Amino acid sequence: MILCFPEIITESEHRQLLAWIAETQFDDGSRTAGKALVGIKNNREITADNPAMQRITELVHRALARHQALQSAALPRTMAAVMINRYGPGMFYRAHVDAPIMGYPNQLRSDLSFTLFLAEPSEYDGGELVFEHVGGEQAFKLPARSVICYPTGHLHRVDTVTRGERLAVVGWLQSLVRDPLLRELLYDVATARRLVRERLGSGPALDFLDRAQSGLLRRYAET
Amino acid sequence: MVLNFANLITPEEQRVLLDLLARAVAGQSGAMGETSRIVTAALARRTDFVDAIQPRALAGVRLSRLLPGMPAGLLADEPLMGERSLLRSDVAFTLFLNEPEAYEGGALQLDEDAGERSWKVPARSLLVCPGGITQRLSPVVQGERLVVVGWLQSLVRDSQIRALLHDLAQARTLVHAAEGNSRAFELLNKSYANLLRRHVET
Repeated sequence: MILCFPEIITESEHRQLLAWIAETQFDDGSRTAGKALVGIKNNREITADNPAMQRITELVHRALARHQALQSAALPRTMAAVMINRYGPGMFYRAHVDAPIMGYPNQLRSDLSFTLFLAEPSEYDGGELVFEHVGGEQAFKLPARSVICYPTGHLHRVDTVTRGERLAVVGWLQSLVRDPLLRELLYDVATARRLVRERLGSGPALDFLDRAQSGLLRRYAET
Repeated sequence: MVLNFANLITPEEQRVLLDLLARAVAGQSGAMGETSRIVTAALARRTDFVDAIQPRALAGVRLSRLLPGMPAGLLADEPLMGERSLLRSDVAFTLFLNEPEAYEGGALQLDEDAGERSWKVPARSLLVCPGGITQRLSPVVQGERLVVVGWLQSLVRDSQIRALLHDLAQARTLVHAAEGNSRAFELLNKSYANLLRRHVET
């Protein structure tokens, strides 16, 4: 399940992030790619060890935490560090899968990845985020301030930017529910429950769904 | 979770089962096949039972007559049953063939979440519980207690998952009755199907 949510940050938060990023030095992205991935990654990054990332991370995590649909879909247990990446003309990130375990000494399992778009699609050509599914490809290029959230196990790439600059925040989280299909199931039940509450109000259907939702979470959550 | 289904069988089926029980007690053979057939048909037409239990196959049935002086006490379900092919006893049931007034004692004590609870239900009722929970039968002191006991394998082994599926199925039915083919109904239909697909053992 790949989910897109628009306007995850406000316009003023967006301006604030751009201002903080503008005064920070980027590093060569291939630094963090791991030996096997050298040559497939060509971008610029600001990583978590940069002191500037503390307030950026706090702002992004706060924005994600207040978004109810995203919380309900992702069921975050622990947020990993975020980083900023920038693709200028000629830059790309070929097909890869993000590391399954991140962080040291506080390791976490990366169940979900997200990209928070900071540049408008009109500001650059190329630079699509493309998923290479078994059955075909799926490309995304979202408006600034939108977030895309996808299971970290999906093979994906960022196509070469041919004009302008693609700027984004990327991050990972460990979910309470490891299995993407079960997360989707819980999200569907939560959504159905919300719709039933809004349209039918309290009653036996809502009671059954309350019990089913908490029973499913109790069964599948890993705390 | 213990479920009680009233009027599972018709008075005519009750009469036939009592007759089969009498034949079995008299030492005649052949009663069990007919008993299985009647019970299977009665369970299959009871949609609330099918929704809650998801039966796959009857693992075994037994006709039972309990008289004063006969040993009662702890009933232990064999986990696997059958001769040619083994089946799990995921679910245990008792189908009552005579009224509670016809005997003293003979209560079925089932160890439920909230503690032990004692059951004596009207004739033609079916009492269903997960296989493996503690069942204790108190001795009959007067009259006779006539039942069919049985076990079946469910498509869903785990009683908690069965309960979750049943909640989703009931919510789905209620939502459909209230607003037809809505988005909530579609999501519940999908969730039910996918949770069942995950846990079903055919």
